[in-house]
Amino acid sequence: MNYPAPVPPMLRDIWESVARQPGRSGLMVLSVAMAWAILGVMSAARRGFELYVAELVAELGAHGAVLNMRTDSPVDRAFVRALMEAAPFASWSAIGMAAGIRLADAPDVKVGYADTAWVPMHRWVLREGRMFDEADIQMGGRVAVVSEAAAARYGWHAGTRVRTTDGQSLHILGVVGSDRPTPAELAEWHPSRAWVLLPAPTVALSSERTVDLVWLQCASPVQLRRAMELADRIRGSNPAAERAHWITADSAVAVARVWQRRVLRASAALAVAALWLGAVALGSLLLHDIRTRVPEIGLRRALGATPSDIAKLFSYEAMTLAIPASALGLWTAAMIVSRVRTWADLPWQLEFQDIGSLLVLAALFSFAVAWGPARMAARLPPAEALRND
Amino acid sequence: MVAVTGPSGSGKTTLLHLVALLDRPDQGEIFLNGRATRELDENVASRLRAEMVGMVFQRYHLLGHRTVLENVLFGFRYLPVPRSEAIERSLAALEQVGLASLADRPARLLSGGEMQRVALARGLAKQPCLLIADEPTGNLDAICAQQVMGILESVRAQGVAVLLATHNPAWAGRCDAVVQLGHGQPGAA
Repeated sequence: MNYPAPVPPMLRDIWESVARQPGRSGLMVLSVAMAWAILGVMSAARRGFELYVAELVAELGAHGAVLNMRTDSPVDRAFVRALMEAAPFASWSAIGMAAGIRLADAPDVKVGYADTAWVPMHRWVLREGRMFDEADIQMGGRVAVVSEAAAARYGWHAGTRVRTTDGQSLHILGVVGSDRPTPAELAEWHPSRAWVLLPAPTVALSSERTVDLVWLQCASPVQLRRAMELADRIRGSNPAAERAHWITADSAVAVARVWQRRVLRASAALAVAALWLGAVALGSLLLHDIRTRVPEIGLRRALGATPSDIAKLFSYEAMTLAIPASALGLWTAAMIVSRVRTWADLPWQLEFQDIGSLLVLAALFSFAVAWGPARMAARLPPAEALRND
Repeated sequence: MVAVTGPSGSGKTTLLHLVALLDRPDQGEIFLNGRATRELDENVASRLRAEMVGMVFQRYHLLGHRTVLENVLFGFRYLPVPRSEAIERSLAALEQVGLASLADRPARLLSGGEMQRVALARGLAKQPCLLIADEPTGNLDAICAQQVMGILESVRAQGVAVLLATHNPAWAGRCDAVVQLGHGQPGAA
């Protein structure tokens, strides 16, 4: 004798209802999951943009700016040297991405070129070893400093040798970290960026490597304005630098805000569409379920179910379907956010409190959608329902 | 054991639904165990029905995908009875209708007679004061109908009131009283 499995009767009722119409249930789960995935990404993006702005402002400081040279600009290092000579009262530093270099055992680590001023200008500190100096640059040595995130991820230390994909060997001189106070989420994001910096002969040598960004730091806003004016004059006489443009804290915030609005508006529109689809799918699932279960509703009433028991049956059914579907959507959102962090290097973050709020929203959404059909089922006259076979 | 007879459309099922508190009378009063029920709140009526009334239908109203035992247990779905006790009483009811050996079988695989006996077991398992049977033999052959009537008579012997709607004069003749309906008007026979 196999006794029935001790499954709570309500769960049993709900499972049977779902199994009865897998196609509709699947469509409903898919659309609700999609809606909550979009809402989750929206929530992470909203937070992420705030952090991004905070990061930009912290990086640029009150009296800093960046000249974005664009990676395909053929501007050579002579232009940077000219900037330095034109405004010697300011601190200048340049960085470029090493598009042609990859590390053999660390494919996710970004490799860039920087000059010796880069690390102190960004207030990063040496955790171990030393920063490369002019002598390293002059020697053209295959040396590097690495971020503590990269060092922690791959077990590197000062003195470790790493290989590039073209078979060259790089000697790690030092490990660099940041002690700058940042919001908790930003602190978590910031060191997660793993990078290796190779010495770049910013002023001295070589026009092989283009400049991506030139950073400018001044002691006052007056100095900053003056340095930017001087730099613009040089740009005016250098057609190759025409496409370069300034990024200041204010302009970065304004651009970030524009993108924040665009992303949030687009995702809100998508979320509304997906929610509408989810609501229609869930509502039609329940209505179809009720239509096919009229005799069962009559039986339940004959066995002693109250109208509210019947309403609960369908409301719980909707919630039991919609909440896991939303959880699935939020899991998808977490995956998307994780990819955005890795690929786009943006500090998007799906917080637990956002997940909790969105799950509560899912419960309210399913309750609101189920209310009408559940009420209709509860109001069915039991005598008529029993005759409807 | 009271039989309700009458031609189709005379109101047999309606009368049974009124007694089971599934419907409300336009006029008059229904007393259940001495209690007037016309003004009862819907929730109170549902509780009374769950506790006091067992029902058997002509078309069984079983859940085909559930086993025989699960169908009988479903009778306790809205009663505050512990699960172990519900299983014990369900098995006893299945024993009473002679289907204990089929407890594991899905209800959809049963014959019509067996389905009706499962429905009877579901109605009896909760030990109601009143068993309402709406043409329980209407879809059955003579042998199965005989079995069902035998069970109803044994239920009567246990002190459970039985209200039976039937077209069959022979079954009505085996009851203690017969209410003959014609055009919705009762007349005792």
